[in-house]
Amino acid sequence: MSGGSVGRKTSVMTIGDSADDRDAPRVPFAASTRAIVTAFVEAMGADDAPDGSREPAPLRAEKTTWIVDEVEQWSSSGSPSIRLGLRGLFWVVDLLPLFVVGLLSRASRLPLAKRIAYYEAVEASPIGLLATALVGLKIPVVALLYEEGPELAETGFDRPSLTALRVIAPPPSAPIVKAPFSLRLPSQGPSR
Amino acid sequence: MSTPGEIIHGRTLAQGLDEGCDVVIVGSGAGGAAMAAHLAEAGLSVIVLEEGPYYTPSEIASFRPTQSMRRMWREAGLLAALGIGQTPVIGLAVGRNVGGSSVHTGGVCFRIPENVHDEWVRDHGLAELSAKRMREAYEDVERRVHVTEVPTSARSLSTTKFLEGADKLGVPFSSIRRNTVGCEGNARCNFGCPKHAKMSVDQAYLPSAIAQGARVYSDSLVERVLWEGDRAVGVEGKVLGRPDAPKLRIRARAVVLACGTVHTPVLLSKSGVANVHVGRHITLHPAVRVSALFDQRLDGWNGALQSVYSDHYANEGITLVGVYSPVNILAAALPGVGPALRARGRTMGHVGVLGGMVHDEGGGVVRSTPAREGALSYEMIPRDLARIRRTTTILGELALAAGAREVYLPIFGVPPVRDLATLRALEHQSLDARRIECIAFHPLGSARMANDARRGVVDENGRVYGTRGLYVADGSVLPTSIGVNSQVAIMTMATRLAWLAREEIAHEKTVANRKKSGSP
Repeated sequence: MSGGSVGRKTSVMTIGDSADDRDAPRVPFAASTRAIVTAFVEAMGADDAPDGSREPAPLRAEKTTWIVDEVEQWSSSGSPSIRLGLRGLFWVVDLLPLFVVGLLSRASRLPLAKRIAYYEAVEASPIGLLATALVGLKIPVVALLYEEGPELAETGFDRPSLTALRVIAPPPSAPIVKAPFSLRLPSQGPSR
Repeated sequence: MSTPGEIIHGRTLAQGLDEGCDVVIVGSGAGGAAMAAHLAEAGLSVIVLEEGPYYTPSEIASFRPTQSMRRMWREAGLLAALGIGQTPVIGLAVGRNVGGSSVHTGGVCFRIPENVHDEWVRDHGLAELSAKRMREAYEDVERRVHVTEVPTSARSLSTTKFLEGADKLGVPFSSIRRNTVGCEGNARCNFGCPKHAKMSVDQAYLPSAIAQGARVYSDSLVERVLWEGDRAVGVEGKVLGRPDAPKLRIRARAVVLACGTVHTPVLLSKSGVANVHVGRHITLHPAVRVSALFDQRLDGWNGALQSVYSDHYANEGITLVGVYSPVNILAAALPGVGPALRARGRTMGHVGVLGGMVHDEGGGVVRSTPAREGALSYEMIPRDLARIRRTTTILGELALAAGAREVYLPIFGVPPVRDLATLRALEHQSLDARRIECIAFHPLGSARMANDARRGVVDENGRVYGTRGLYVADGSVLPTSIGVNSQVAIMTMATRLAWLAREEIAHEKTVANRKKSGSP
């Protein structure tokens, strides 16, 4: 029996819902965890202040909330071990400033500039597991930071979104096709 | 009741599933889909049960990269092998969806290198796994998934920039072959092709299987194999995506496990297959990538995601591979927090990337747990750790030779490198291995093939030792690491196993039917 033709049509029983409807049920963060995640996101996406002052500006509130919600949905899509593990990592990183930078405070309660410096110190920690913990949280947050909106645009990405098709310029040697008839604008009346 | 000839969303099955067939296949990835097509084409009735969800190619193309990860990758893309001792924590990119990991590859297609085939024959006594014996299966696979060489014109500027450096250092690269039709270089292969150009197995094999009467169910978790004595007679489990989780039960003459290296051993263990090699000897091809900042604008997102490779360092167990990623995924790997990160983010148009992977020894183990997911650990031998660090140095050298202003190494907290002396010094500096950013795409070997039950889990025909009617047809059967991307190897192995199994199963069906009818 032959087989192997490059067939692309596959019959699918449609179920009348969108891909969003097939997402895993959301398991919300506890309020205390949400505060930690929010502080982390705010710092990770912070930028130089637009007025040129030395204090950094936190990531804008709307984007911060969106990222926190997306991280919440993301963790809901994993197993209970992943959900617990991710929450655990956020808490561990939040509780270690005293041991990393000598500050007696939770990271989420530090002023923004000190919070940023703390996370950078954890990323550079000679203790590999600590650095890995920070990066394990950083990757999903920063992937979301740059996934759409002005932050995506500031990377120089030349498409409106990451799902948009690439714009392919015609080849330089494309022949110039001569029109087979004279084009006249309606205002010019009928051609003679 | 399902209708033949469809991919069925398991979550629509309010009553669950209770059916019979000739062959039930657990998993719809590279191995499972190839088995399904060949066995259905041979006239056998086939049911495929896939744990993950089904999304159409159009839906997949609409997903943002993070949506793709959390919907279609195992553990929402957050799966990692726990490093034992001086071993990096290795992130694993494994699919969990109809089509399996083949939907998430960069499309790279390699045959198993000849020296690996020779090793299998010579050192493992697996004469059937010679390159010559597997040639026909390779050709069948490459035809079905449309393997073609990536043209030079499809290379991105990120890739060609690194090749300038390679040229200066005398490191030859060649064009890669991929399974694509009509690729336009949108460079988001790992997260869904917006042009449906990649011939993943849901496009290349499952349509044929379905056209021949196979039924494919998504959202269908198999929890155990059913037995009559030592004979596998079916599987049972439950439907996912419904709060009531209705049961599913499939009776079959033959059971094929194709859940992948991470899950096949878990299912074998939970089904009572007692073999010390189940779940052991996992190889991962640990990989690293180096990014570099150039003065020239590269826009590396325009062009084939992967287009070149080099086996110049094959004698050191290292393969270099052109690679890119969606810009948000790449940015997530840049060093720094807040303003420092944002400043680097603005330079992404000038950043090029190149990767490399190591042909590793096999220190991975997956253990069954009371939960659905197994626990995966990996102990990297010192030689492989040295190879990872050497790969990083090689990639950095190519970047600097190409004129990179600064090089971002996959070592957490290391500042960008700007000169060769610093780069080379870092390779041998004392370093906690868990600061290395490592990822793996090709887990293999957890139910390895051997010519003796004391050394492996399955025989040369994929039959599980100590059982009847139970086969394994996925990456877990490969006896060793292969040093190259594995999707063609897995499809080829499954093709070969299908050709052997179809005769056996058809014969058993004939004998059973004769017995039933009372004829001699």
